[in-house]
Order: sequence, then structure tokens, then C-alpha cells
Amino acid sequence: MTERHDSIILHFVVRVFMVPFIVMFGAYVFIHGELSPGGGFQAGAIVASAFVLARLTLGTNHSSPRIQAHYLIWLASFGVGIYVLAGLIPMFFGANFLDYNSLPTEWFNDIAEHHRTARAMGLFIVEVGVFIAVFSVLVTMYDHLTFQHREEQDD
Amino acid sequence: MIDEIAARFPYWASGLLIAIGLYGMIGKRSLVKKLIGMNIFQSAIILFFIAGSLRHGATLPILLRKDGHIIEPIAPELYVNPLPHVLMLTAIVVSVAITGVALAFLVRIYREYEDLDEESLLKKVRQ
Amino acid sequence: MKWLTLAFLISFLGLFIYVSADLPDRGDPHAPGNTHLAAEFIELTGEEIEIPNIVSAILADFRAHDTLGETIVIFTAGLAVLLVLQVGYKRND
Repeated sequence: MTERHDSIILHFVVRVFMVPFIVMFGAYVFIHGELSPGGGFQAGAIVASAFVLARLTLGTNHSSPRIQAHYLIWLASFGVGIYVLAGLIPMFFGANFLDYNSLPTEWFNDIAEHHRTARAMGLFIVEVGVFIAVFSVLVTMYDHLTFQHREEQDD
Repeated sequence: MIDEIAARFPYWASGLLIAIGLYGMIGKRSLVKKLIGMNIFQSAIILFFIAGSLRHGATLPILLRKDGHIIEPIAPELYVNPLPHVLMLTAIVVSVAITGVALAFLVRIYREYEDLDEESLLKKVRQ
Repeated sequence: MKWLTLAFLISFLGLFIYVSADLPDRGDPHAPGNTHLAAEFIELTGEEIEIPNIVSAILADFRAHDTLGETIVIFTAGLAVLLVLQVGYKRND
């Protein structure tokens, strides 16, 4: 499953149509997740499925050499860290853990018009953390389950 | 009688799926088939909760809007119960995590013993 | 052994169908699970958070501690896969 597939039609379809479309759809589901069905969990699973598709057809070494299995778990812990930070920041404003209501609203009024309340903005930060964690955990699971060890390749 | 059946059949269907999953976990000898049975079991639980969240005459749990603003006042009887959806969303992710860890264990077992059949595996372990 | 499994499953299914007579009807708007907390969540989402998606609001705000535990669970699962498959082998790169 980690080798490159032979068919050039498969390569063309996957590289040009499937993977960009799936990644774009995942980004849509994530960003539009507050107005329609969607959110961090679903978008993370969709984007991870695009990466797994690229690894299945193009081979692990050809699909994305910059994202290696050993570094993805650092990305996952980064996502969990974003979540925990989003919980810790309200504590500096005298509120409880994960109580976004105390965040000063004037910080992000200019950024996005439809984020009217502080709780909506805290919710968005949390979703970013969940998205990164789910995406990187799913891809790292696939990478490690199909990892070929040198000892096995010799015999 | 027919009303009774119409009000209950999603529960029965998920019960049947639970029985199929239990059969996969109990009756099959291959560890991979046991894992597939566990996945069917989890999907049955998820379907059971989603079937329980329905309300007749209600729409999906997205608040209705007009010109980008939420329509006030909000009528709770207009939307299906959102709480089971949330719980099952997290349950799906947990089931994915469980499946990944179980597959990792199966890969490790196969590397050690080159076998995934339950009874011959037990014999090899006891030697 | 096979008949024992089959008898267990059939008795389980019979018990399930018997118990399901006590469950609320499908789509009943006045079922206990559909009234108290769910209605409150729907109203609070519109009043305090002001985003349309109720599921996202419950997931990341009302039940944020639950989702934090959930994220840590999947992170631990990824870590477990890494440890189960990599410990005892040399790195390949």
C-alpha cells in the first residue's frame, strides 16, 4: 500500500481532480461549519481522507515528502495545545476554564463581521484545534499502519 | 398494530445490527472479523441514538435565518434534538480511534506470530 | 458452541424487542429526551452565541470540556498507534 501505483490515468485523476477537490471541500466544511452542517471533526476527517487517497495511489514517498510520519504527531499535539490555550486565555481575564464569554470583544470585531459575540470566536479557535488534531492523528495512523521496516524488507 | 410497528422499527433495526455485531465478536475466530463486528456494533449504537433524536414536523438543527440574521423568537419545537447528534459526532471519532489502535495491535500480533486465528494463536502463545 | 451463540443472540434480540415497547415513539415531540435540555440548548444558542449551527455550539461551547477530553482521547490513540508499532524497531530514515 505504500508503493506507487502503475496506472498513469489514476495518477492524473487523483492529482488533478480528486485531491484538490477533496481538500477544498474540507476547507469549505470547516470554514462554513458555523452556518451549515460541519465543523472541526468532519473537516479533519475529509482532509485526512484526501491525504490517505494520495498515499494509496501515488505512494507514501511521492505524495507529500515534507509531511513525514514522525512529525505529524507533533502537529497533533499542537492542535491539542491550541484547544488548551483557548481554555486557559479566559482565566487571565478572571473567568473559568473554557469560559469564552470574558474575552474582550473589541479584539476581533474588525476581523469578521458575523462573529458578533466572544463565545462564537472562542468556539472557532477550539474548532481550529480540533481540526488540526483529528487530521494529523488520522494521517499518522495510516502512515504507521503501513510503515515498512527495514528488517522486514531484507528477508 | 401497524402504528406500533411504525413507531418502533428503527429501534428493532439497530437491535438487529447489534446482534450481528455481537455475532461477529463472539462467533468468529479471526481477529479481523471480530474487529469488523465491533465496528458494526458501534454503528448500530450510533443509528439508535440518531433515530431517537427525531421529532415529527421538525427540521435539522441549524437555526433558520433571514438576511443573515437569526429569526427571533426561537421556537425549540421547530428543530430536532441536537444533543444526540453532538454525542454521536464524538462517538464516531472515538470509534475511529479505537479501530486504529486495534489495527495497530493486529499488525503487531501478525508480525510476532504470523497468524490472526484465535485458537491457533492461543496455542502459539502458550508454548 | 455454535448453537449456544445463536441461542444467546436470539434471546438478546427478543429481549431487545420486548424492552423497546417501553421506549418513546419514534418522532414523539414530547418524549422526555426531546424536551427539557434540548429546548434550552436551542434557545441559548440563538440568544448567547448567535451562530446558526446548534450542533457546533453545543460541541465547542456548552460541552467544551467533553470535547477537550475527546481531543485528548484521539491524540492518545495516535500516540498509542505510534508506540505499539515503532517501539523495538530502528528508524528507517
